[in-house]
Amino acid sequence: MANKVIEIQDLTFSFNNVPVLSNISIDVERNDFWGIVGPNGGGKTTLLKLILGFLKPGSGLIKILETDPERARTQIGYVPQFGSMDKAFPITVQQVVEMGLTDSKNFFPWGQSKLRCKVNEVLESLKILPLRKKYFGELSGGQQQRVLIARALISDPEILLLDEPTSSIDSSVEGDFFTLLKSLCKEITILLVSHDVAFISSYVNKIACVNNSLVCHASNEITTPELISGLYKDSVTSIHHKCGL
Amino acid sequence: MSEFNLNIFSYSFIQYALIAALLSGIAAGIIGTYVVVKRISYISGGIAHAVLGGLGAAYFWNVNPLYGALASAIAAALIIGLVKLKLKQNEDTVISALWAIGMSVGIIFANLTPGYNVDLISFLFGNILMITRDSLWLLVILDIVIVLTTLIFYKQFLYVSFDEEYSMIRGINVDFIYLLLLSLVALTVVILVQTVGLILVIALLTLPSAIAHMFSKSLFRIIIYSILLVTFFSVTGLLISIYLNIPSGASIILTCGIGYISAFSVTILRTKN
Ligand SMILES: Nc1ncnc2c1ncn2[C@@H]1O[C@H](COP(=O)(O)OP(=O)(O)OP(=O)(O)O)[C@@H](O)[C@H]1O
Ligand SMILES: [Mg+2]
Repeated sequence: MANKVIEIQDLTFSFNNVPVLSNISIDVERNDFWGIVGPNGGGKTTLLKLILGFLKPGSGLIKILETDPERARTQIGYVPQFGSMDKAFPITVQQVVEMGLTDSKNFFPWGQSKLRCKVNEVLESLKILPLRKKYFGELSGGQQQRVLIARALISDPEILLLDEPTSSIDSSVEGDFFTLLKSLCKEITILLVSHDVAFISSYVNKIACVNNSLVCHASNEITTPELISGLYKDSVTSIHHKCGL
Repeated sequence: MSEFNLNIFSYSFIQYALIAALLSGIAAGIIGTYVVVKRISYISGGIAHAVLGGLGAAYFWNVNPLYGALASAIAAALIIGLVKLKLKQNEDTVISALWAIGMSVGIIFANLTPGYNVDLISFLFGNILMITRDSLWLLVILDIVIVLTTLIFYKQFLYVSFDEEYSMIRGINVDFIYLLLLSLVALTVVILVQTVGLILVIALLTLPSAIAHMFSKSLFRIIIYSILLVTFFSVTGLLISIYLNIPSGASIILTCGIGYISAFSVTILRTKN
């Protein structure tokens, strides 16, 4: 099995002729755990959507698991930053999580009892099993986010793309979740967008800073506050705060 | 009064009308629920009004108007759907254009067709009492298509309506499901055009499901309640129209509208307490 899980070469992407990403190149290897950081509007979400094939590159090459993004994306688990879903939609937590298991062979609404076991397992690991029968729209923001994480994890994906997955999750669950990710990345590959460089640097092994261009760092380089500030240029106040500086 | 009550059900046209009410209840209950939760009522209105073009053309060339309605409804659904998917254009403008073009074409054809066409008017405002045995069979077939398709694609419709992006990740053909749903809307419009008329279609498609949505958050239950509500409003409206000798389509929609306002008031009162 080849080791390059994601291969991006000279990727350029513009929204209405405004360049958002220029000359991005990155090789993501199996079992990598990448932290992706950068200022608001830097292009982090855009990069994930290009990897998923929701957006098409202006120029350059993207290969996921040695094939096109559209073909590879059933192997990806994705937790969106905001999500395109309709939050008031009549759907239960159980159904949202089951959605993560659907594939072209698994369409029919019957014969699903063995799925239930798997759904319960994932819900339990994120401490939301009691919410199983609730409607998605009745949950708090953090609970909804946990349901979306469960949906991404349940398919045992090859790649996990997480776009600020814990932005409204309380710190005890966040800690557990990161420990879970750390154990998962022995088998799979993870790309995690976060603004909390200091926090994630103890979990991830590589860091990419996306601000129109992309700069890579090994996570052990990101130890000094100066370097962290350097990554963010002028938007560092929150980072200083979190570092307790 | 009670004598009259029993007598009317022995007329075959009343029996046909009641069967038509049930058949349109099944279609409108199921598809109306998707129209409401996926918020495509404006698209559905566009499809309904574009149907006039097909009806006019069918009269002009003297073919069964229901086939004209079927063809134009499907065509309108696919055009709107494809424009939305491929051009990513402002779909509201496209829908408004199709809405207006369809109606204009229908009016011109009606004008060109020799003789004054009473039937065309009945498609505008519906006349459930004029439904023939042949049209009933067509309604049965359309209902079967709608029920089977929703059963087979229940999960895809649920997932695509909830979250298109993640549906794509799971390998669901989102564009196909969207066009399929719009086509089912088209079939439902063809059914309802005969009972309440194309001008009032959108009310019977959305109000009962909106009521059901107020009282349940389960998609499946909303569908079941909607079917019961559409059938109930159609039958009640029909009986009222017979007793009061008023147009049946308007009577059905008025019953439905009163039901909606009552349900709305109940929910407001409930949240206040
Ligand atoms: N749908 C869109 N249409 C036009 N421009 C867009 C669109 N989405 C994003 N952009 C632009 O692309 C740039 C990158 O956006 P992106 O969402 O990728 O940033 P981000 O790094 O994820 O930011 P954040 O930290 O706020 O999540 C921004 O300048 C934004 O204005
Ligand atoms: Mg973002």
